[in-house]
Amino acid sequence: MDTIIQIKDASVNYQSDDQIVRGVSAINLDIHRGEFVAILGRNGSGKSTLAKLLNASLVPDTGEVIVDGMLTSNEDHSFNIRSKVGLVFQNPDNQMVATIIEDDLAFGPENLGIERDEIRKRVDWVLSVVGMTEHRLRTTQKLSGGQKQRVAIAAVLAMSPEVLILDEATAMLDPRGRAEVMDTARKLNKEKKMTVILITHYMDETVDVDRIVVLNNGSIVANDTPLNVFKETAIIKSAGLEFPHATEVALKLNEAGLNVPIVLTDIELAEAVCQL
Amino acid sequence: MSIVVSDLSFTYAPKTSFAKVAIQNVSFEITEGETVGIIGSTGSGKSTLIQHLNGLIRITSGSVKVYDIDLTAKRPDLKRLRRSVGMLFQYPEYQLFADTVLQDVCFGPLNFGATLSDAKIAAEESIRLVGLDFDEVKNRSPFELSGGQRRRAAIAGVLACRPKILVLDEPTAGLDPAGKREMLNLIAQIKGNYIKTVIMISHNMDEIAEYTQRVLVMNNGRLIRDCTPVELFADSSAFTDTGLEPPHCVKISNMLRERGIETGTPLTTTELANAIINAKEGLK
Repeated sequence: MDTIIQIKDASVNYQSDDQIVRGVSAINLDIHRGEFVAILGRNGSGKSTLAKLLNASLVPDTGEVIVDGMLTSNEDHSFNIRSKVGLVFQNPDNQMVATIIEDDLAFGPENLGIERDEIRKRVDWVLSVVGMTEHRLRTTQKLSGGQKQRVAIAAVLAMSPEVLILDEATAMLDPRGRAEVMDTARKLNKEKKMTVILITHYMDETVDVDRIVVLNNGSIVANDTPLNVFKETAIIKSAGLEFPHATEVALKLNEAGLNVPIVLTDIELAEAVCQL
Repeated sequence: MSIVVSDLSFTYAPKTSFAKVAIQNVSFEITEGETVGIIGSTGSGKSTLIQHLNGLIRITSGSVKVYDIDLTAKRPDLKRLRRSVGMLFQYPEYQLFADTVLQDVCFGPLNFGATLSDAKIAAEESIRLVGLDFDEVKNRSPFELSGGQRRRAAIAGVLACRPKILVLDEPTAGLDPAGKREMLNLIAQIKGNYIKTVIMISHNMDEIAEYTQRVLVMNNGRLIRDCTPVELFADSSAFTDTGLEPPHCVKISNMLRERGIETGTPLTTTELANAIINAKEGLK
């Protein structure tokens, strides 16, 4: 498979007053082009440190990160790397720069020195991708949380990145807003073949991703398909995670002696129970 | 009755072209001792509603009474009101400001007129109650604590004022799974320690299902349901047009019902697993 990001033996330590705090240690991870990868782990496990390594916001103390052939430690590449790897954060209000949605979306490409006609095309395109075309002349403040996060994603897309990182981008949203953002991410991955990296605390958002990476205390402790990862119950528990609801019920049925396969989604569980 | 809300309506920026009706004709009563969840999508009026409970919004139509304090009175005793109703906003850890955790937690009681020594006693008790190591954190800057610890410190600041009613706006937002669980257990535990009544806004239906006894559902500024979680989640029509979804366990049980297996309205994974086991044994 074609690798777009390669992390080789990367470690990051933070200096805090008198002590050294480990961010991540000896991480090895390949992200493939077009993949949808979820990163799970408790607060402080190194998820956000890892995300920052992926777009050269942070350079590892030891080891290296290579984005599409470019070493992140080479400052000449940082501009190119950041336009290839876009990050969307938790709080939508911190990610808006202009008052009108269209202007907000044009800000990134303008800074890249892109031609006016091309900017117009890109803004129109990203508005349609996130389903916000009809709102393009509205002010950013009057949107719902889900709409704001879709605009934040659109602003990143306007830079035409190849990788989209969502760092707990649904944490502040209501169920509808979360569904809007997740649907947008899935659509970009399926239809535009965009590589998506999803950092989340919602286990149920990860059941249909290609691969889950679990971080615990700065190290990767699992790196596999959702089914294989959630079957490792000891790892999930020690990493402070939970199971998708359907998986948890299946595990409890097994404990009670019922022979139910380990499943991930609600519908899989309903069907498995019918087979009993 | 600890809270009586009657026919409450509120419009932002009335009589202007920006006028927005936030809540309309909302009425309910809350008895001391209840744990009440408020749900509804963003913009449904939840936050406007709870801001009325603590006098942060001046009543323009309808009435609110908290214990014997009538908020429609000309000059309601806001100080006593705010002491009775502790309010914890979203991401309360961003509101910490003092040099040390102890000073931060003392701020509330001092403002309500406590002496320094009384404030310190209340602060110590509250800091211990939220599960922080008092000797370890008292002289540390709140900004040195981890995210989960900071949120606990913020709760301690509210508890130190000894409110009877605690209102929380999405207390678990942004926490990891273990942190969410700890926060909910903490809220359940402090209820009974001078907190008599808990009102909690949440977007997480699983939390509401597991931790509250009563749910108020807001939709477009109106209170459209006031019932128990089981009653709410058993009625699938309750969710159309609200932007809300039933908890996962209820969704699974609905799927099972379509397939001829009745599991009732289980609110937790344990209840669902037990209901499945019982249903299967009944079939044998």
